[in-house]
Amino acid sequence: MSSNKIVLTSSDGESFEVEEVVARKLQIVGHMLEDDCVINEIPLQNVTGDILSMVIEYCKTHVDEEESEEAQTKLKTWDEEFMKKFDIKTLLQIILAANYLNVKGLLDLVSQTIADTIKDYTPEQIREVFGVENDYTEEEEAEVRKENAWAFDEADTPKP
Amino acid sequence: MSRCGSRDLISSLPNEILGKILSLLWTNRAACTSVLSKRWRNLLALVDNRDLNDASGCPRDFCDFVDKTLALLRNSTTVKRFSLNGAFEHDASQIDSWIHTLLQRGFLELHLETLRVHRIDTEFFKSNTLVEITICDIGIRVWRNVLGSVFSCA
Repeated sequence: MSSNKIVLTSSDGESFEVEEVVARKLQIVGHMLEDDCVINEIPLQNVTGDILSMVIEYCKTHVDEEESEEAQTKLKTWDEEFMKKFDIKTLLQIILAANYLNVKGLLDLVSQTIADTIKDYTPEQIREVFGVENDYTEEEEAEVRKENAWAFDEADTPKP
Repeated sequence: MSRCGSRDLISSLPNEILGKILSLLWTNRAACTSVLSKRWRNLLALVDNRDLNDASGCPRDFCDFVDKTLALLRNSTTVKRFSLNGAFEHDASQIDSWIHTLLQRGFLELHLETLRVHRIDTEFFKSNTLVEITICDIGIRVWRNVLGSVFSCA
């Protein structure tokens, strides 16, 4: 694999020099390199330097995705620790960046982390934790609850 | 988990990301988010994986929910995987009708688990899209196969 270096520049002008194999983990970059193989500096308009540095950290760790069970377990542990570093606001910024830069593994990882956060919360808790403003009237909210009555039933009703 | 701050960043995520996140939840949990705000009202339509299990909630509400879901899926190509798990005694003809409706939709993967054994005509297996189907009665797996190899010649 080529050890060519690529410079990635964030929206706020921060530059990161990375190996081409790492840069290619960002599929948006991979496509640009395929279109024009002489590029060595790539501006990324929709991501700030602090978020881009985290995406690059993920890509560097995942650059050699070995098949062995041991390597997979190690990566999984690293992923879990990596996700623990961030608050919700940062996770949401990373998921946006992963979507824009097209880093599928990271998009999947953050999606799962956010889903795991949401799954045990009531709607009221989700609103509070994520800062979601309820713009329903009381009547509208009651209507939505009625339409999805089963989803709002208590989880501890009789089981077979 | 610390709070996000006052700005509602999660609601400003693009539909495809919210659909992806909600697809990772049990369908009843995903449906609950419809009450968060108007932005979340119809996001269930973006969820590509439906997991309906009557182990939670009231059986009658469950039936209503399945009926509504199937009606809404009539013209949808979003849903790739559908799992229906009925542990209660529902009306057998209603379950038959659900199964037939489900088999006619273009899912890639279908999982059915019911209390009683239901007869399914082989003509329903002429699906062009179905890749995997699992059918169980509670506790006993009666039959499992990967379509294509078996049913393409049905």
